[in-house]
Amino acid sequence: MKNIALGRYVPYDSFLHRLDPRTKLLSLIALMIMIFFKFSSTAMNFFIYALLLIFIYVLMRISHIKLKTLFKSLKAMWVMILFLLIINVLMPSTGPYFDIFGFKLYHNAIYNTLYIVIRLVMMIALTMILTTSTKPLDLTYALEWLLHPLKYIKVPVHEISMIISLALRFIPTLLEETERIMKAQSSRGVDFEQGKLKDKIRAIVSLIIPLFISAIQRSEELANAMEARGYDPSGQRTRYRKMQWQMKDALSLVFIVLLFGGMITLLVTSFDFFLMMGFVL
Amino acid sequence: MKAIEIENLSFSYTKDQEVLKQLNLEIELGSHVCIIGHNGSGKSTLAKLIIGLLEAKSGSIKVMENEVNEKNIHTIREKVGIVFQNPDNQFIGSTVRDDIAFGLENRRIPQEKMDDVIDEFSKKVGMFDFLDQEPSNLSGGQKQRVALAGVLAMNPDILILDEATAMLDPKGRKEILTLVSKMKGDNPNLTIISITHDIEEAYLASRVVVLSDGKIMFDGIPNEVFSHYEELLNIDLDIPFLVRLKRELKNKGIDLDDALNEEEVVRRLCQ
Repeated sequence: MKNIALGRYVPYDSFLHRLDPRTKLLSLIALMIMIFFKFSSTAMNFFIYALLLIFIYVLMRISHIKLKTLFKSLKAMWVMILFLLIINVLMPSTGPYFDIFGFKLYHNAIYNTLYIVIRLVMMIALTMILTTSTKPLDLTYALEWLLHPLKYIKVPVHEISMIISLALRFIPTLLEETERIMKAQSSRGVDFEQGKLKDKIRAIVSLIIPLFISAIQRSEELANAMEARGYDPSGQRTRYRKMQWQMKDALSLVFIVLLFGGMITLLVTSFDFFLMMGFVL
Repeated sequence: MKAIEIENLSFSYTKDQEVLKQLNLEIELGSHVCIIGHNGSGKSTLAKLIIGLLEAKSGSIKVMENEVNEKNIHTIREKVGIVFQNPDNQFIGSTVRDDIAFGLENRRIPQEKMDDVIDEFSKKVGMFDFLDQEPSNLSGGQKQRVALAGVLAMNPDILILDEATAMLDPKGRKEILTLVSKMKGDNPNLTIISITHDIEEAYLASRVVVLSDGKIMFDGIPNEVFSHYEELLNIDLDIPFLVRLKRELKNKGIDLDDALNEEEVVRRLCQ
């Protein structure tokens, strides 16, 4: 039960773990955008994707994520990949094609499917790198920092961030509670594992109702405890956890900016190494 | 100056049932008062009224000469700290360190000073070695010790323990009580109000107030209050073992009513 905790953080003393969460969040956003760039030729696209994949693999190595872990989380995607392939194959397209018994299988269909698959893999890998190397709470702080400007258009950024961090704090507590209620209901004869769908739904209801009641009671007591300790959401507070920009953050950000800038330049000038060489895939 | 002055206080959650009825109570600065009563006697409600989590229907509460109302609420909460019953539901930070810091952040203590305060108070409650632990790895007693540290770090004049030991095992309960006695020893000016239905806890106090149906039934030093044996049993309160023992001995013709504590009873019995 405890294994399903969200955004599984794995404590480790790596370069990525030690980076400021804000650096990681900004870099993630920049990389996510880069993933969706599309260049003029197929060869160029694959070349850039290869570069990005190598870069992401290096990041994975640095943050001690095994390829196996990544593939495990990709398992559920097979159906989707197949579905995408079928859709793309059935779509009318242009260009060269294989002729399979009179059916035109366009090269472009295969390429398009590959693009989407590679993008998905990269997105999942990047998110994984972020959550493995950053504590959920630090991520909340980074998010609060990033959304900070929204305060001026009356978005309650601090409150949202407090809500998220409290939610994160109570995930293990509520999981424990769920387990306890399940045991209590099982001892009263509720069967959570077997039975018809109708019985299962009834079993789940017998779990959810007490869980909700207790969660609401908890939240009330929590609110009391917070108020009693002088919490005022609209008031000024100091911060215990200070985020500190360091040299490694600056260097990382410069690197990401250069990478981003380079990509944009390639995109704008439609520079294509492969077309210039007369190489067409 | 009195720590707490309560005058004609009435409160009700629903229209037809009054939880507190015209209550009058004064608590001296630096005293250790224990409020006992059965479930629903209004003792926890009283705590919530003092710290301004609930609003009185009529009557007044003064905390160190500050009337409890909307305007004074920040002053009141600076003076009064409270530890609640459920260890999980008052643990706000994601680690012990962050939880103690929560109150300091609200108090706008500069960040550079926080670490010193956190170290000092976590040492006082014996949780220094657990500073970076998450609440799910701590026992109930340990969580209550953190709650105590979090409250004491804010340097309150009055500490309310609202059934702070009710959900703990005997070991955790003992730890908290020892700690509270130690705090009181370190800082004699601290006013402690402990709300409990654990009768043994009442013996640590210098004054016991018995609440029943929103009214004060008895008020005095522990020995005097517990001499009202039948009445206390009638309102479903337990009687301390020592009082029961003395009572039974008296029935057998051995009068030890003036013996103050367990050791004295043992010594006199051995004579």
